Amino acid sequence: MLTTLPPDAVCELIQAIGAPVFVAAVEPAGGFSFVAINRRLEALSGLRDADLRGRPLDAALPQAAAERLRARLEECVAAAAPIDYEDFLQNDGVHWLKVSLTPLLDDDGRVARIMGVPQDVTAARMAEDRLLRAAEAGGVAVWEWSLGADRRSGPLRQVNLAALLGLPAEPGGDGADWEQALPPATMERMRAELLAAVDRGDEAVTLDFSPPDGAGGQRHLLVRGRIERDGKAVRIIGSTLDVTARHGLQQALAAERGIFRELAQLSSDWFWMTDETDRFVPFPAIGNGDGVTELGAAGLARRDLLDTRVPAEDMPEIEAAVAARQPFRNLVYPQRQADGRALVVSISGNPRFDAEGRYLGYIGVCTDITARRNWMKLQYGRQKLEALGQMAGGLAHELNNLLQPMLSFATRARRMVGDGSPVAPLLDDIAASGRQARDIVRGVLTFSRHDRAENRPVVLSEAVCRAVDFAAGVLPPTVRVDRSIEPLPDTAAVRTADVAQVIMNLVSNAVDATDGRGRLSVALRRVQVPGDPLGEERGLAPGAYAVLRVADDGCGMEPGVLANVFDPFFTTKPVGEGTGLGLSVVYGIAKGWGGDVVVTSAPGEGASFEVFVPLCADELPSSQRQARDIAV
Amino acid sequence: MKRILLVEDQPLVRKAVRGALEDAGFEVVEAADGEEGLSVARQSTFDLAIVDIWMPRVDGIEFLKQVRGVHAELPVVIISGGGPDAPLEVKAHLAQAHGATEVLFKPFEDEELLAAVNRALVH
Repeated sequence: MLTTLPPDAVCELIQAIGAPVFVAAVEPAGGFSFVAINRRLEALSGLRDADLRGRPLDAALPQAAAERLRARLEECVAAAAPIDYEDFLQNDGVHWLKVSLTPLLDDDGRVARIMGVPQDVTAARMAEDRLLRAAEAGGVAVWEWSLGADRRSGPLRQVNLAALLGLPAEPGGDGADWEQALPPATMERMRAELLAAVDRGDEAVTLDFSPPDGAGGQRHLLVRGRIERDGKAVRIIGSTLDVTARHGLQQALAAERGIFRELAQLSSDWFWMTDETDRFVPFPAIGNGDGVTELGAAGLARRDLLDTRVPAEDMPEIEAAVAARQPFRNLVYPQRQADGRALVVSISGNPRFDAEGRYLGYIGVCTDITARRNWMKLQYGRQKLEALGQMAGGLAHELNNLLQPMLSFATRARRMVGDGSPVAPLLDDIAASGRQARDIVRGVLTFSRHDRAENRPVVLSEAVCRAVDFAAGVLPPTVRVDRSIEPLPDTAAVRTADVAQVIMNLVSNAVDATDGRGRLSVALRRVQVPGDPLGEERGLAPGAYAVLRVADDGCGMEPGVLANVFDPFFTTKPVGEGTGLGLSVVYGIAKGWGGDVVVTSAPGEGASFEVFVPLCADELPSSQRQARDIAV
Repeated sequence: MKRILLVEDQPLVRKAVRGALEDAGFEVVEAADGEEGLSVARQSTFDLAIVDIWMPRVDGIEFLKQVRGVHAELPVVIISGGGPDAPLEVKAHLAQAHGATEVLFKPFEDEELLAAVNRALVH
């Protein structure tokens, strides 16, 4: 309709549009002429519809403005599609315009007229300009690039960009000028990334590039742009920041983090971290040293790791420190791993707070002290047994001196009174009691004995076989004994009576543990120290050992029982059924041989006693043996 | 009548051992420790000495060493109660190394004592 209406009607029509509007006609001979403009455009441009109507562009407008408009109108005719562009007009001042051209087609599909809507964007432009000036003053590079049709050129407005890019002068007002000023490889990459973002329909684009800083180094620049689309027109408004300093800091931080991580991985300690609810959070920055991840403890509280089967040790102190947000050092608690392994760990921790003083949780280290603790326990156990042995020795000495007159006087008095006296049975009882007391004291002395004075080399496997035969003969028939005794030819400096006593004590202990209905096994094997882990752990002297193992499938022992099992007078049997000396005698004999006893047991899983017996390297002549014994 | 020197610091043990020996027909001279035992031994002759190991001042081992200077051939029966800081067997061996003829561990029976004494006397 607009293609055929007479100018008056067109003018009438476009008055109704709430924006400045003009309609131009495409002259059949080429060129353009005005059909009409509305009052809004009159007000904006200072031109009058009456002066323009029907007049060719060149006659109606100043030359520069006419040329710019004609170029755009021709572009629109060629495209036969709407185009947008930016322009300005100058009358009393400069007005920045954003112009939309819409081709109006006649019945034959040719562009007969073009309707233009030039909108005044001066206010927005002024605001942008003010921002640009502020950016300029602040040393920030900001720019606006209206992408041309070839996607290379197009007006580029900027402040500070040349200085930031290290260019000696501003290349010009077109994107193409700037492209040429930059290294081709850099520009190629950046344009590819930029255009990819445009083609993807992204609203923003971030690029980085590192031009030389002119002093042999590099600067790191960060480019961020907002992509604006208006029809086909694409404009990118962005800023370019020099992030060299930040980049340096990041590099330094990454390096420090790398060093920390390396140290953490070299350390045998674990590191842990909790959040403000005191639950563990992973600590991935340190890789393998991250105890939280290693233990699968993320989301758990400290108490969830506690091994509740044993005393909690310092756990109350740890919890008190955490409740009070206090640092703590080297506090110990038993820890149960996800794989069921029980450890003893020592932990230290510091609370963390943010700048406002809000509690963030704890950070700390954790040391596995299980081995150290076991070693200390072993040492403590040894010292305890040695001290007990000394005490027992002293006690035995005193008691023996008291028992001597009791026994002696009782038997002598018995001789004096003769068989018919009513006192005779009383004196017999005194003597019998004295002898029982003597036997108990002998047991204590065996425990406290550490020498090998009367030991003679015997073929250990034979002594063991005989002793097991003897022991099996006196056991209840319901007990089954499996033997796996290697016929070792080695000799050991032991007394066969001691071997028999060790086996008898261990076997009867095992029978008690199985309630007389179980299955025992007795085994003998040869090991070498170093080489045998158990022997090494006990700190045995290097050499060959025979290991006598007596195991049962009985009730097993609680850790508390296990720790005391070799203590003299320690017994789990009801009063009157056991002296509590059996296993301590075994221990005393084994130590006297220069060996050791290792017990492993858990409740319900039976028990196993392994007696390490040092083997003779080679047969010594008996005279040398005697001398060695004396020198002990 | 055979003369026996009994060196023992515990009065009741002395009394017990002496009683058993006298019942069996021996003459017994008592000494309360090694030092007293040595001085008695220097003044008189004996067929046998019965000596405790652990005694104040001069102990049984020291007595053994020194008594050889007075009576080179004197048989000695050691009676040991075990020691507070050394295992008794070692001391017993030491005693044998220094010429003890017999070693008895307290408390012993009168029969054991007399058997040891008789063995030592024929030694």
